[in-house]
Amino acid sequence: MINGVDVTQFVNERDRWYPSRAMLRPPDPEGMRAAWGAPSEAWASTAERARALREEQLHQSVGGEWSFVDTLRHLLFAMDKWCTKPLLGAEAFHPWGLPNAGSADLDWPGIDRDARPTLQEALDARAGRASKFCAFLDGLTTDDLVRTDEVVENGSSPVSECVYTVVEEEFHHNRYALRDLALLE
Amino acid sequence: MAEEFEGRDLKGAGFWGVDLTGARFREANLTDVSVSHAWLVNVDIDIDASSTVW
Repeated sequence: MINGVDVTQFVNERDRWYPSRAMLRPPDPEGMRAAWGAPSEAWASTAERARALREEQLHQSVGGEWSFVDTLRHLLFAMDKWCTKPLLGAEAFHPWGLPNAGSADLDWPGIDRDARPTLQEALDARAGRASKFCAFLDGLTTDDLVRTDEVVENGSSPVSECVYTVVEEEFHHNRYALRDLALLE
Repeated sequence: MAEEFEGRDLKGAGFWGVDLTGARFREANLTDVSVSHAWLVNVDIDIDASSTVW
């Protein structure tokens, strides 16, 4: 409610990202598998758009935000933090993972702070992780959702929250990446 | 008891990954505030909405 006016429908009708935005936190595994589809397809399209830029542009910060490749590296990090490590039992993060600024000083096992992968290398790394996440979602059951696993920095977290965070990171950072690509093109 | 921030200067503060469920903002200056990747569920806003970009 804004000043007593319900603006929900007004906003949704004009939101480029509706209904995807409203599907990020489904209550069941079937919904989670469906929720992964939209940002996954959106990112494939965004990556194709990025390939039209020169490699150095893809490492260029826009408006003080991450470069395109850094965004891919952050999503690699988010995937490892919320899925590969807690849900799949990996010991370490992918070395190219990039933590958010507020958590950069924490001890993230396996992170190489001097890494500078190319676009293709970052995309390949993400594809490998996405494949494992998909396989995890395929086997996900309702009983799994309430199980808790230990997430570095955040502590004990339900499986559902881990899945939500992965999907939301993919969704929101795709929007930011598109915003910044438009300025680089 | 939750912390109170009355009269505090929090200009430029960053809130990342914080839980503000049930927080109350009254007579707060939110000029140039940017919110992203946030959940607004059952939120009631009473504001002067001039130049607000949704």
